[in-house]
Amino acid sequence: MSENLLPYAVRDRYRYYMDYMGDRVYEIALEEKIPEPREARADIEMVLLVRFLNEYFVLGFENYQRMLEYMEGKHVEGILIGRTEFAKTSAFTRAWSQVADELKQLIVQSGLRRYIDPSTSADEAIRALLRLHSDSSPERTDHGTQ
Amino acid sequence: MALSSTARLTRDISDFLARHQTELADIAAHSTNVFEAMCFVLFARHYEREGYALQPKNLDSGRFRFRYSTNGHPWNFSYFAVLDPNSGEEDDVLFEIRHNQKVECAWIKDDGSPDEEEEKEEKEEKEEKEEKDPPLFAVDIAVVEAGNLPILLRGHPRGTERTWAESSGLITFGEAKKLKAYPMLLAQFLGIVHEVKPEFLGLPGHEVHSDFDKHRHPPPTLLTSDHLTAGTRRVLRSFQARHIRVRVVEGVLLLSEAHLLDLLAGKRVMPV
Repeated sequence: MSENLLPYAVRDRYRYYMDYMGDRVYEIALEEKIPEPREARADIEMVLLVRFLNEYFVLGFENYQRMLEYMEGKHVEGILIGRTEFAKTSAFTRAWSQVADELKQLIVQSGLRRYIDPSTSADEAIRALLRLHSDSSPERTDHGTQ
Repeated sequence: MALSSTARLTRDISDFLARHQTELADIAAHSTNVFEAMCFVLFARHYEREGYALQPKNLDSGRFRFRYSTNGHPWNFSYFAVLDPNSGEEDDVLFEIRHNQKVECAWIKDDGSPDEEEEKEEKEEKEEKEEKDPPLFAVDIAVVEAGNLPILLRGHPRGTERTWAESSGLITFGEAKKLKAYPMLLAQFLGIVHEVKPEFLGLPGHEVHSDFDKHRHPPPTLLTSDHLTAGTRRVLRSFQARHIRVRVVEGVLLLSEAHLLDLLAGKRVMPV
């Protein structure tokens, strides 16, 4: 998937994140003594992209909403950052809420939630995916029957 | 392919990104500032959980104005007043939580000498004033002693008022980074601690104030959106061994609020 589809403001961070995680994939594959299959890399990259988006847009929204609720409890109607207002009913909040809901829905429907949920670390997700590919690899099966 | 659903997810995500390009760009453009505001509120929540009463002050038509420019004067922005839990007096403020507050360097003091050439043109006067200001560092979340910063009406032009917190008036601070913490980030953070609150580094002749622990302040704290790298944990272990009192609250976007508040209060030890 082309990273050009990502918002411009997060592309550098995404690139940095993927460079770092790419090194982790290589290191974990070495630790696990799993020759890294090409197909695993495609799956891992997809899972890492969705983890990145989930953190930015879903978890970010949940925290943002909690912050507004806390402020509301203090009788603060919203927050001002420069000239932009962030309030429970502002257009920005409604848009973020819709985007977060939709992305959450896609993650649930994909059946990949266990690899994306933050209770699973990125390293654990990579390790699980590498093992999954290794177990289903014909080479590994052949070695096992020799 | 081991994951049959990946192909579908790739298509769905591509569609999602294309469909919401404008909204996602807008959210992403504000995300760093919003993250900093979340960390600021986490600090406020910490004091509330420790039994203090908090009051938002200097609101702008009922809205909390965060400060994202170091050029702004503190009296033009909102802050939290932290009140004595035993006092019951509404104006018994112990300390204030300020956003993006400039703080003087702990090592180079303002000489405090009066302006000797009052007849100078306004521009020259301003330049001179700036030259007399001590070197300043802006910290994302500053907990300062009540009264350390002038309380003036919003829009008041700057005269001779100090716009920065004194190092002695800064109690503790937090830095928010929407990043995965890596050792260089810790080194940079430690550099800020060294310049504004060196007493937390265990340096000879620099003692942490005796009241500090009584008030349950967190020590200077780095808050990161993501988890720490393995190397960062090793550096933190080394900090502990060197009696460096700083804290890292990791995973601000990933962990529950209760977990984060435990980390900030030092009630949950981060695995290092």
